[in-house]
Amino acid sequence: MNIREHLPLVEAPQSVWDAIEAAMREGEYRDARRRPRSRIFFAVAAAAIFFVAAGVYLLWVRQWRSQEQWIETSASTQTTLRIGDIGSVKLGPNTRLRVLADRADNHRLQLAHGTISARITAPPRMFFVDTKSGTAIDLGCEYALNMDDDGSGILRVTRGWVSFQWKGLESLIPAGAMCRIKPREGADLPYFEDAAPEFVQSVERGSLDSMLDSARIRDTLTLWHLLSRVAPDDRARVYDRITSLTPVPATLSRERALALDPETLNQLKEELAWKW
Amino acid sequence: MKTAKCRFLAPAALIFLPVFALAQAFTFEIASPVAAQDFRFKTAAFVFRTTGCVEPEKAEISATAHGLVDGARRSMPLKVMPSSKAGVYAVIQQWGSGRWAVVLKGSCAGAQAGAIIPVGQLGFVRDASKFFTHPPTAAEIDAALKAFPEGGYK
Repeated sequence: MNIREHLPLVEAPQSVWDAIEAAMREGEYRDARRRPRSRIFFAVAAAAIFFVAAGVYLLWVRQWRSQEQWIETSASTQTTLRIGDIGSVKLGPNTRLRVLADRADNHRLQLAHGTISARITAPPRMFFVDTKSGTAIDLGCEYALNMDDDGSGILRVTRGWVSFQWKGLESLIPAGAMCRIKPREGADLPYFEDAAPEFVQSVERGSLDSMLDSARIRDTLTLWHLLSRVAPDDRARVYDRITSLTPVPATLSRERALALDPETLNQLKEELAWKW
Repeated sequence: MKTAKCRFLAPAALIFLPVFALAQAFTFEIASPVAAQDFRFKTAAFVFRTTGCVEPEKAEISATAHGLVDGARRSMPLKVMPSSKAGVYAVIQQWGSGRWAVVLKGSCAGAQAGAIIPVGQLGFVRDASKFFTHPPTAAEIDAALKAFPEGGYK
């Protein structure tokens, strides 16, 4: 049985309706009062987030920019720059340099002019110094690099060795050796600083005959670099002079060396390094 | 008969002895650390390798520093670090000021080798180094230390 079918219908008194309407109006008022507060809260929160983000961004930009700021020493000052955890670079007087990268696997400086002395204890190829005339790549070393404004300079290695690269031309300079750096030409032939004066003069003059005549065993450093820098007709003379100064492994192919096969040249270099 | 055999022995010796002589003698070769192609050695005093050893990984190698410090003789065993390449080693500097020479000793399949390598301010002195087919004697080491120039090698 459905009771609702038997109940009489009665109209609610007006006072009930008035009370309901009053209650509804009270609720709308409270909501209306709440809405501006929440709007203000969200606006403030958004503004705070914006400013925090902007602040973080500006700090990051400032740090990035500071890495690119030039560091300069005067005629009477020197300073030492720490390179991460891998070593240090001493800036001599009248030196202008900036940091281009300072990451764990890539520390890169740019030397405009002046003298730096680097002492690096990292594995090879983690520390680079860009100049107008090429890039010095640390292979585990200590060295001094002096550059002029026109891009000329001198690189001297005291421990380990350094690779100096310019547009695909590479010079490997071991401890005790040096090389001149020429504008728009990169590194000249490296030579040991204890080489005979006539050998050094022949290197600086570019006199092949004199270089071959005056070379000693240790000067095969220079002759090895010469292999890839002379005309093919002269290459055999250079190679034969190397092998006359010191024997090379029988497995090393003369023909492949004259053809400038990279693997053969590397094998020759590794063998000659025992004489450098 | 005995005389006939002797006739053949002498010429045979003349033929084969030079063959043995031409075989490379066991010895050391020294170089700056870059020659080892191992960046772990870049702070080493120098590196060296054995030559003429058929099985270099089995060679027995030792190094000792002998020195004159304020007129007094001193010596100390040195740590020899092997490279990943068989027969290549590095000597780490453990000596201080004074006149010092590193003495290398090695043996390989019954053959002996030795070397006396003076060290100066800029590292080992190649031109003054001496190499032997025997362990260096005390007299040879003394002579090497006395041969230091005034002020030491540069």
